[in-house]
Amino acid sequence: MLIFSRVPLPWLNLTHDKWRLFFRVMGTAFAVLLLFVELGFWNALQEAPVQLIQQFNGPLIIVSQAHYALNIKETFPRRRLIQARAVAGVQHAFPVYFERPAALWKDTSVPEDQRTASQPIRVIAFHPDEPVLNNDEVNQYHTALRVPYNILLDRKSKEKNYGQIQAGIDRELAGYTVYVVGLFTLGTDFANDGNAIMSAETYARLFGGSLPSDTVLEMVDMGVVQIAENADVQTVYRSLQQVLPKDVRVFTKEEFVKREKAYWGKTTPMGFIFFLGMCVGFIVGAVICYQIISADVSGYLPQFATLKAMGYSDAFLNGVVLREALWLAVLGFVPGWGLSWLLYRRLTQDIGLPMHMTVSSVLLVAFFTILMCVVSGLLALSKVRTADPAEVFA
Amino acid sequence: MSSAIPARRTRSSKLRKGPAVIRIAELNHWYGDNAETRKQVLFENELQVAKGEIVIMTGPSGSGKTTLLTLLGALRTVQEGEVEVLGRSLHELRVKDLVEFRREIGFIFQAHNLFGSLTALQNVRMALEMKSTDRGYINERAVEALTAVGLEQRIYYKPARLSGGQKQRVAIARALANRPRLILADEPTAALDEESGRKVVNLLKKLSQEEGCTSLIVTHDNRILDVADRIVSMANGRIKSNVLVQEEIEICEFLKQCEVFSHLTTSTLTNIAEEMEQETHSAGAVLIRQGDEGDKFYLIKRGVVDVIVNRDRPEEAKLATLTKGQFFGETALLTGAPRNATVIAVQDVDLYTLDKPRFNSAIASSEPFRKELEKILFQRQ
Repeated sequence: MLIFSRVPLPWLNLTHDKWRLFFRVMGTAFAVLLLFVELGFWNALQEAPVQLIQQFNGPLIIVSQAHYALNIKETFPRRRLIQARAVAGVQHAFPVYFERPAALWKDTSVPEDQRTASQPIRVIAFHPDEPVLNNDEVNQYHTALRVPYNILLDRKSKEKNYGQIQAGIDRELAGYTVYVVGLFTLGTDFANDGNAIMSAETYARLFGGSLPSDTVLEMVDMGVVQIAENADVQTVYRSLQQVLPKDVRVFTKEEFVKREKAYWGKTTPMGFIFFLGMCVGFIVGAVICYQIISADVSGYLPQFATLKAMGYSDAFLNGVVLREALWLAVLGFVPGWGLSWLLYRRLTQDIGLPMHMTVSSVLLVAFFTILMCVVSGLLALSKVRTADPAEVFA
Repeated sequence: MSSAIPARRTRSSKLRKGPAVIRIAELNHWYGDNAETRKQVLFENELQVAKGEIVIMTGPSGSGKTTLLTLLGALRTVQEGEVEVLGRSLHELRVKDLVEFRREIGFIFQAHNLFGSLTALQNVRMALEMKSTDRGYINERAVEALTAVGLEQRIYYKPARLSGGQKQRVAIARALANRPRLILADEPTAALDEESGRKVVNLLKKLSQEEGCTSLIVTHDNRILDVADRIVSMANGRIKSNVLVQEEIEICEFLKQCEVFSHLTTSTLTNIAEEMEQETHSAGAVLIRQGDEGDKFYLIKRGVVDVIVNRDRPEEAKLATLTKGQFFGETALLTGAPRNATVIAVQDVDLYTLDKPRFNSAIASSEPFRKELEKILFQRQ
């Protein structure tokens, strides 16, 4: 009752002019959008590369000792996987092969003179009979993939780079004609604009040059380890670490995901840029809010001075300004959130980047929005102090 | 009744109605922080204003009247001298207490400074919420204040939908809402047409009469001078003149009716009126005692006195009875001899008095006045 008995001056100052309110809310919403987008990109930068890892059909992953990121090729001998299979509790250890720089895709449906340069596509190869991926779409094609030069194409691959993405078409890959037998869903990331899945055999033919396929397949990019039903992941994990030579490393899937995220989020320049982008988003937002709040304070300076002359204290007026800043944060956050949600959906659908509106990202942006408005409110307080009641009489 | 009862003495241009609401003594003020830019804007100002007075302050811009107003309103810190307002010594208060003190005063500014975001009612409530949390009282009082300024039909209007005069009236309602005992106004009618301005000053007059509210108005608006009880005019940081308007007009009109003053020009009359003091005595009081040294000239405003001469005899002889418009006490002043008679109040009397130096300078400045007095003196002898 007491709260409502007061004139809600901060709220009324903010909202009484509907047009100005609209622009103020939009300005703050823009800052919120900026925060959401930069945070979304930063998250996506880290999330996108691990989409593939999440689909691996096993709790443990073996990579070369030198391996530090998914898109950098570091191989190890296939022998290690055979050794791994001998460890108690291990059911399978599937070899996985990757290729990107040599996997140049040519859209042969376009006449040669209009064709753009060939685009690299990420190739993921394994033995079709081994359920390497936990992906029903892929697994249903295991028979078709056995046929050499048959491939599956990620439907989220960028059409701009690769032309039409559809099943039943012939295209050129690494100088060979391949047949797109079907489509699957994985998603792009900041290093890969598209994905293709093929058999290890096809992989050896496409990228092995004149070497026999067995020789080519001797060097493995990654091993996906499946464990027996009654086995404990941690126990198997420790056994593998002990048994396997030091030229390979074993990770749990969670560890591997974490390591990959850290690489993208912290080590790559892109990660730093998006992180910086978040900071810039915050600063830009704070500047926008400061402009709004300080313009309001300046506009009401004679009124504030009058309130001071009437006997209101500086503390009261500071409260008015800060409460107005908080209202601005709330009013700007809601539409900013809505717009960001729409943008996230579009980016996820159209570009294939995993932009997820998680609870933690919403809370984080909400926190930064409030912080940004309160900081700009605090900066505007110096103006309140300049409101001299004696000047009102001049 | 005995003459021992002290007479209530007032001097025109000093206290009139009651105890002082404003008292300023030896007030100096400077602007600027360092010695080079420091500039004195108020010089040795003295002023007393009684409860319920409406004071109009005039003077050219830059004469210091606004500075004086801000000092009275606790909007500035007193640098030198004494300022007492509503019984508080502002020159002794800390800044925080000055802010608190402002709540006792109603300010009316030339610029209305209403919040465009608030309705008339909410603007007035802002003033009330500072002193009360009682919602019912606040609303009731806010409506009352707006009704008092004739805006009861407009309480939910925002300033954008009010005319200049209406906005100023909202500002006045805001200033009056807390029933201040002192109103400080800066050009309250400057932005208003004559009719609106008249309403504003009539309101202040009503408050003065009904609630004993004291108003101090800085203005250049000649149209509202007639409401003033006192006109203070300032120039170059000094109070140049300070007159109680009504009283002076009264004295002048009264003087004109007296034979002795009837030939004088208005300006001489005004000068004499300005110099006169007022005294009130009870019936039986001895006003002049025979044989004393002459110190004053008396004019009877109201009441009856007896002039008695004691001719070295035990029995007293009444020489004359004087009444309203008649005067006495001039002989001793003109001749320098002791009082030649005793004057006793028969009823309660109101007297205007002029002391010896002022009487002499009045005579010196006015040849007709001197001649008139000499003629009367001659006739009496």
